[in-house]
Formats: sequence, structure tokens, C-alpha cells
Amino acid sequence: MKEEDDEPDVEDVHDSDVPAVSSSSQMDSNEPEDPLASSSQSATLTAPVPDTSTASTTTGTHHHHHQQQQQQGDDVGAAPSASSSSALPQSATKLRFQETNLEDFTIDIKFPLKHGEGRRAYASYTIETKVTRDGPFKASEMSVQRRYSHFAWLRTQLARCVPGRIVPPVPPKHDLTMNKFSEQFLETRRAGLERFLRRVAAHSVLSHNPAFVAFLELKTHEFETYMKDHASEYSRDSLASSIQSLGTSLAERDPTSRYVRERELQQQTEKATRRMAELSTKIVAAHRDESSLQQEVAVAFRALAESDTDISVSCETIADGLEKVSAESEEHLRAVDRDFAQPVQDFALYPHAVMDALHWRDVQEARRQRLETTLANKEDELSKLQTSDQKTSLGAIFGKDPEAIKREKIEKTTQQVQELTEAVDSACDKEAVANETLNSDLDRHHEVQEHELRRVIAAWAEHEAERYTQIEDAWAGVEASLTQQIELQERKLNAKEV
Amino acid sequence: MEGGGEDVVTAQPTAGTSGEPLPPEGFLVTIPKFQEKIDTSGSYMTYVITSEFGPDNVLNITSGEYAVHRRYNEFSHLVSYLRAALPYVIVPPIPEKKLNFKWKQMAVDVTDEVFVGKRRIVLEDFLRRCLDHPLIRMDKGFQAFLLEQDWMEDLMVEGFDGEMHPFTGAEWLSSLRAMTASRATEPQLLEVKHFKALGASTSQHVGVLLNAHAGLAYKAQALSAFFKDFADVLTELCELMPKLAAPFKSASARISRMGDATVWRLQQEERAFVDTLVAFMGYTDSISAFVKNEEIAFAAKVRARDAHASKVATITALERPDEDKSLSGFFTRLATTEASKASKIEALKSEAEHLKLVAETAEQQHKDFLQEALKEMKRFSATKRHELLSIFKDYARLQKEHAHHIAKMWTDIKQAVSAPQP
Repeated sequence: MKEEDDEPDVEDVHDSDVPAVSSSSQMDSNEPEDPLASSSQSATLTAPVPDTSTASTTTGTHHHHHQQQQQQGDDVGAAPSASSSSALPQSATKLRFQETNLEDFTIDIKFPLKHGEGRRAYASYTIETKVTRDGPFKASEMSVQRRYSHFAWLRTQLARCVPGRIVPPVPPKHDLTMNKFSEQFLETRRAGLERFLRRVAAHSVLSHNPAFVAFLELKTHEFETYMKDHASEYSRDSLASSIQSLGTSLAERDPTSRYVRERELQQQTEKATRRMAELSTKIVAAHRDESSLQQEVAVAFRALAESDTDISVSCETIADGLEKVSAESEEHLRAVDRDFAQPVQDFALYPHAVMDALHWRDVQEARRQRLETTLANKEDELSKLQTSDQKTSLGAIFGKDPEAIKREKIEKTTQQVQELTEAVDSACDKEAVANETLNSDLDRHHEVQEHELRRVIAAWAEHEAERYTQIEDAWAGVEASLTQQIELQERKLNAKEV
Repeated sequence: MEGGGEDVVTAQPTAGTSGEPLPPEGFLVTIPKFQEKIDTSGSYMTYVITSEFGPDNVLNITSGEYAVHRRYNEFSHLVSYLRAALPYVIVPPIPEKKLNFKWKQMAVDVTDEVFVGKRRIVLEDFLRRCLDHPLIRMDKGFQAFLLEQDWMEDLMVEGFDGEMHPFTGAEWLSSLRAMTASRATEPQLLEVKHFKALGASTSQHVGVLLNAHAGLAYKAQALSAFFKDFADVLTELCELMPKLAAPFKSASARISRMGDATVWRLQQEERAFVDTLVAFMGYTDSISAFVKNEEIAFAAKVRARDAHASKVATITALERPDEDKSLSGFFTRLATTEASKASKIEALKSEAEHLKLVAETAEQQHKDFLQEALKEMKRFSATKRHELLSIFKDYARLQKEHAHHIAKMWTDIKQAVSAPQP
């Protein structure tokens, strides 16, 4: 499974990204996000108008989380701007966030089929989509075949096309510790991929992205062509390279800035959630071990029952109880794994997605800062020109009129300053858009995370409560049966004595 | 086993002399406490056996209250004594001197206090089993153990040689054994053979069972540590996600307590299931001793019979040399003059008469032994069934109660986490 190759592009963009006064306007047009930025920003900037209107109806009809939404609305109101209203529809979709599926946009992935043999073997997932909402889809029902690499491509593509957005994570690559085609691995991956698609579908901007639409709609060969076409289209401007070029160029950060604090928060969150993901896996594994050990104990009881007829009935009773407990536990533990341990793994992956988005925003800020510095230098140069006489300039030595040279130079520099001023304005706008985009996504992200975290822990608790209630019943049955056996024996003994 | 036996002494330390009415059999024996004693040889632990006998107790002991201090070694001597004095009885076991069973991986009981406390419970079980046994409880030596501080003085045991010997401890028994067991063969009666095999296989299976159970306990212990860690992570998340602080704090506290509950359950299991089962499996040793005694009784019978037969053969060799082709007969004839022959035959005949009597007695002894042994095996089978049933029932109840407790906590967690935000 081959990921998109970002690396070859790095050099490319590095060169063109070096800020040079003469090429400042060119640089603008060459910016990584541009080719699609037009479409992505149109999503960000123009979508709000229709989105808000649908949101208001959606809000009224589907959502019961009025309070939260109100709060969300207040937050947005604190930073009013043209694009910030896009936060509203997002927060609206978010609250319905994939309980299982959206009502008007359901995505289900079937258990994959294995294709081919040996090293070229791969698993292919059938994705079934039903859309009843208005949108870019041609049909209301679709069914396509996709491989893991297609999902990975989609995620990379979304991150590029809609930079500055928090793109949900896909399950990590195969780590070689497990059989790639084992049922357990494939099911884990299937569920992870399904969560990924549903999360994208729940995002008002990502769900409209052409790559996502193509992913759900196109036949396999069409989609592979689409992938190739778009790979070349963006080959020169990868997000990764611009992030690399950013380096440490960002000026001293304001420690009270939301983004600086968010980065710290994400770092801590990553640590905690990774630990939680690890522990969840360990707990489920240990519970599974426990249940298979219960079977071993049951076997030991059966052996004892067979060897000693005096106690065979009571030993069989205990063995039956243990086996019942073990079988019921295993069933529940599968559910715990599916509804808790697996989803929890995603929480450890999210901080990276958030930090990518934060990084993108930082790139905008850095670019703006760089342009401002260049502009300031240019303005400085201009003011120096105006007081200089150009008598020692190269042109003057060759006999040109110093005054004419001065005029020419001032004219040229003035034009450059003007171009730069425009570039700075544009960069400021972009930064503002990036901020708004990120702000809305961050707000949404936090609420979704909190909601989801509560949900998976509640799901865990529910399964465990049920499991232990059944265990309690099983042991109560064993106890009752043993009590009966004791009474029977006592009655026999008493009868003998009489 | 006689009815209502299990009511006589319970495993819990009871007040004993607090004026409560005595059980139907008219007595109550407990080990309510242990006490450290110091003498010239150092300090040692004693268990205080407290008894109360009512006026019409079935043991015919003078009514009153008694208390004696017993060291572990004295219990050990009592077992040896009982095995010697009542060879056809399967004597209840006492715990091994060190309670370090190989399947014990848990680090829950480390202090002497806990160890001595556990031993107290098991020793009390031992006394209860003895008092349930119709033959042991009537034995004078056993009663002396309960009532008199110097119970071993004047204690006599009938050996396999038919003589009475003063009982001095375990070594005495083994030396007597070594002497008589030299010609012991296999047990003769099919029932005893089966019983011996059953004892061995049961002990083996219980060993496997306890090993498997230890694996389960080990896993549960690991789980309780994971739960503690998970609770910590939730607490961390409370700080990172302030909106979740209230529900997650509550969930964290409960998950942490679940870890504690698991450890508590493991301790209970250790006491009520593992220790009890291990102690009960001490019966295996008693069964070996019991079977060995049968073998010895049989060997004694065979030896006496052989001795008699050999005397008869010698007489034959002297009286009817034509019938005798044996080498020993030839030498006997060689050493015997015609003059002394008549008197020698006379002496041999009287010896043979005596040996015949001895052989008959030994045969009767073995017969009696088997008769008692068959009764004893039936009695033991009932005891075993009853005791294991109670152990298993206690285990099932413990599991049930624990599951109930845990299910309740999970329900609370679910409510805390899914409650609407304020």
C-alpha cells in the first residue's frame, strides 16, 4: 500500500517559495493552496450563505442540543466576521455527529473481500452511500469498491485541498505485527475507515469536497484516473513542503495566543489519549485472556469431576457456570472492543490532524510577517532613495543623468512597494480567513471530541454493566444449584441416621 | 458423619463463652485468638483453644470451660498420634508448616500477622473436622489435646506389634513404620486400591485447578492495575477538557474503586477458596497414611502366617524327612541328633502353636481394619462431598456478589458520563 509521495515535491516548492521582491507577485500565484484554494475558499467563504439557511432549518427540525448551540453562537458572535458564520452550520452538523450515521447521509462499509494472491494481494471494501440531502451528488444511492490506499489518498487530498481544516484521521498503516488478512485486523480497519468517512460526511465543508464526492461516486477505474490527474495537478505544492519551509521563521509567539495554547493543549491531549488508547487495548485484551482462563479453569473442574464421582455433580455445576460466564463475556467484549477500544484509538490520532491545521494557519501568519518585513525594507529603501543623489551609482559612472536614474529607481521601487502592500493585504486577508476557518473547526472539534469521548465511555460502561449483570445471574444460578445439592445431601444423611 | 455436624464449630472466631446457648451436641470449640509466648528458647506463636462443654455433651466430658495453648508442632503431633492410634481413620489434615504453595503467586499475604491469622482459621477447620468425626472425637488422646495442657504425657499407642508404646511424636511413628513396613506390599482390597488411586488423582487434578485459578487471579491483578491507570488518565483529561471534568472525575473515582474491588475479591478468593481447598487437599496425605496402615496390617498378617508355616515346615522336615526336599530341612536334620529329636519336635510344636495364635490375631486385626476402613471410606466420601460443596458454593456466592457490585458501578459510570451537561 503506497502512500502519496510528497517528498519529491519538496525541493520544487522550496525554490519557488523563497521570498524575493521581484517575484513577490509570482510567489502569490504559486502558493500551494491556490489552485484549489479558490474552490476551498469558496467553500469557506461563500458556503456560509446557503449553509446558514439550511442550518437554520436543520437546527429546528433535528437538533435537541439547543443550549450548546446557543453557546456556540455566542462564541462566534465574539469574533464577528463574514466567514465566521460558517461555524454555525458546522456546529449544527456536529451535534448530530455520527451517533451511527447522519440521517440524510449514511455511509456503510462492508467487510472487505480479498483480491489476488501473494504479495499483490489486497483487501477491497464495498462502500454503500445513501444521500437524501441536497448536494453535489448525482445519485442518491452509490456503491463503490475502495482499497486502503484510496482512503489514505483521500485523506491526504483533503488535507491539501482544504488546508487549515481539521481532517479526521484514517486508521494507521499496517504495522506488520498482525496478519494483514486476518478477520480481526480487517474488521478493525473496516470500522476505522467507516468512522473516517462518516466524520468527513458530518463536516459541512469537507463533505462538499470534490475528492470526497469522487471517492464515493466513481467506479474504481474512474477514481484511479481521478487520483492520477489530481496527483499531477498538486504535485508542485504540497502542504508538507510549505510547512517545512516555514521552519522557525515565525516571529516570537504570543504565549496568550489561542493557537499557542491550543498547540500545548493538543500536545498534552495526545499524550493522555495515547495512554488511554493503549490502556483500552490492554484492558480488552486482559479481559479476553481472563475469559479464556476461565475456560481453562472450567476444563480443570471437568477433569476433577471425571476423576471423582463423589464430587462430579458439583464440579460440573461450577464448570458450566464458568463456561457460561466466559461465553457471555466474549460476546460482550467484542462489543466493548468495537464500541470503545477501537474508537478510542482515533482520539490519539486526532491531535496530529489538529496540529497540521494549526501549522497551516501558522504558515499564513509567517508569510504575512515575511511580506511585512520585506515591505518595510522596501519602504526604507525608497526613503533612502529619495534623499540620495545617485552620483555614485553604476548608471552615473557610465554617464547617465543621476537625476533620471533616481527618478527611475524611485518609480520602480514605489511600484514594488505598492505590489508588496497589496501582497501584504492579501496575506492579511488569507491569514484572517485561515484564523476563522481554524477557529470554527477548533470549536467544532472540541465539542465533537468531548461528545464522542463521553459516548464511547458510556458505551463501554453500558456493555460492562450488562456483562456483569449476566455474570451475576450465571453465578446466582450456580449458587442456587449448589445450595440445592447441599440440601439434598443433608436430607440423605438424616434419612440414613433415622 | 452425624447430623448437624457442620454447625458445631464455625470457621469464624466466636465469643464461645459469652453465654450463648450451645449447639445441639452440647459443646463449642474455637480458636478465637493466637498469642505470642516467650521462653528460654525464644518466642513462638501459640493458638488458644477455647472449649465449652455443656452438661449433656455427646463427648461425655465433664461440663465446664477449658482453654489450652497449643503450638503448631503440637497439632502436628496430634495428627501423628491419631494416625497411629486410629490407623483405620482418615485423619483431617493440618496446613503445611509453611504456607508457600507453588501456585501462590499473589503478594497479598506477606505479613506474619496475616499468615498466622490464616493458619488460625485452617487449624480451627481442622478441629471442627475432628469433632465431626465419630471415632476421633471420642479418642482419649484427642480429648486430652483439647482439655489438658500436658496432653502428651502418659499418651500410649498400640503398635503393630500389638504392644502399647508411649507416644512421643512423629519420629516414633516413622521408626515403628520402618520396622513393620519392610514387607508391605500393595493394598489387598480392591476398594482400598481404588481409594488410593482416587486420592492421588484428585490431588493432581486439584493442583491443576489451583494453577489455572492462579493464572486467573494473576490476570485479574493486572487488570486492577490497568483500571487504576485508566482512572489516572481520565483525571488528566479532566484538566484538558474542563467541560468533562464533572462526569469524568466521577467515572475516574469509580474505575479506581473497581480496581480496589478486584483486589478485595482476590483476597476473599484466596481465603475462602484457595486456602480452604489447599487445606482440604491435605487429606491426600492422610489417605496415604491410611492406605499405608492397611498395607502394614496386611504385611503383619502375612509375616505371622509365614512364621507359622516355616515352623510347620521344620517339624515336617524332622518328622517325615521323605516328604522334605528343602535345603533348610536338610541342615535342620544335620544339626539334630536322634536323641534330641523328640524333644526338639515337642518344642517346635509348642512354638508353632503360639505362632498360629499370633497369625490368627493378625488376620483378625487386618479383617477388623478392613471393616472399619470400608466404613471410614464411606464416611470420608460424604465429608468430602459436603466440604467441597460448601467451598464451591462460597466461591459462587463471592463471584455473584462481586459481579453485582461491579455491575452497579458500571451503571453509575454510565449515568455520570451520559448525564446532560449543566
